[in-house]
Amino acid sequence: MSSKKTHLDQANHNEKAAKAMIDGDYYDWSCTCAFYSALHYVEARFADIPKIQHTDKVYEENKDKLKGEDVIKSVHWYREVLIGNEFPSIRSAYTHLQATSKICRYLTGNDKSACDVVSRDTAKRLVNEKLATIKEKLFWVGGLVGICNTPLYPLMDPIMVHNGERMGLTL
Amino acid sequence: MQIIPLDTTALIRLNNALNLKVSSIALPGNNITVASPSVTMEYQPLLASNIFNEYKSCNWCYEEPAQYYANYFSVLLPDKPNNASSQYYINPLIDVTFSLATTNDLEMDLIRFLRPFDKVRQVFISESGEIRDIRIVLDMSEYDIDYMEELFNRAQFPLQDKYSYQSLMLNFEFIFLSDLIDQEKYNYLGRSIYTHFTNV
Repeated sequence: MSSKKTHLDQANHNEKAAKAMIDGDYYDWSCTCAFYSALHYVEARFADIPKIQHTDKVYEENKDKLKGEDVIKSVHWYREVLIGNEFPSIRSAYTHLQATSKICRYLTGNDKSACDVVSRDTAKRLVNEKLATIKEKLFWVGGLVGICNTPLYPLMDPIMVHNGERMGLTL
Repeated sequence: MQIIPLDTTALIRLNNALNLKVSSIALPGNNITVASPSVTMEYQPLLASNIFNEYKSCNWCYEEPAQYYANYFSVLLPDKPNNASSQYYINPLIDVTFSLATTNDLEMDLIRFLRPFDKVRQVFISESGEIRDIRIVLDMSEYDIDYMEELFNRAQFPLQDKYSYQSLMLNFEFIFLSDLIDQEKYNYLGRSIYTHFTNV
């Protein structure tokens, strides 16, 4: 499993790639880069949460309980479940990125190229708004996670713990 | 034939939706029969799909859905000769009859939650253990962020949350098409439970 720092580095790298391509001919790949940036930002935050640490780990631990026999589902799907539980305020933005990335890569059931389905303006909104929202809400104490490797959970968690109860805090 | 009239509100809704005079709706066994003096053969598929859309959305049906499951629709044409035998059994869309006969809570909820979204054309569902793969076909020429935001927040997430308490995991995928999906071509996607016919 990758460390928190490695996930953050990769998230930054992917985000830069998304921004680098957004004005060029391959802007559809910006959506995919943005999605994989978000994924690594999320994994970096999961590393702060003892009961999760990493989606791959908790997925392996729980998949037999969650699914019927012979069913192997994507870890992507399980990550969405965890995001819904742990970071509901980024759920919509993350789902946007995941759905758009999939449309751009697989063209499922479609007879159009990715750039015909996803406009440049849409790609820009995904990178500049949705990915930015995810970062802001995951690391809302001003990017300290990138500087300080000390886990600040639950202080940094958008879902605060107060007197032992989880409180939804929309930022 | 047992005639069970719709309540006033439902009848008004149905008449408004159909833009014709529906005189009665009967439920002989598990079938719905609509009597209308103005329906034509050409109009029947539209009639059936509109009835289906109204049927699945009205509270009257939802209160006791099991009681009102329909296997197929038929239309009475009182103004035709031999009207006693002119009961046209229409089966315009296998989806419609099939889904109404087998609808479960999740399918009813999917239909109900997705109904406000006019770009939803078809919904496919397949089952794997405790996972339900739900593929939604959208008539959308471009990825519309704002529309999708509504769809996520008002349909996908509430449904996922509701069914997570029943240990069912709902996995949503979206397919963008400008035309209705070719059902045979895409039957690998799963069983179609919902077809929305605003453009019929």
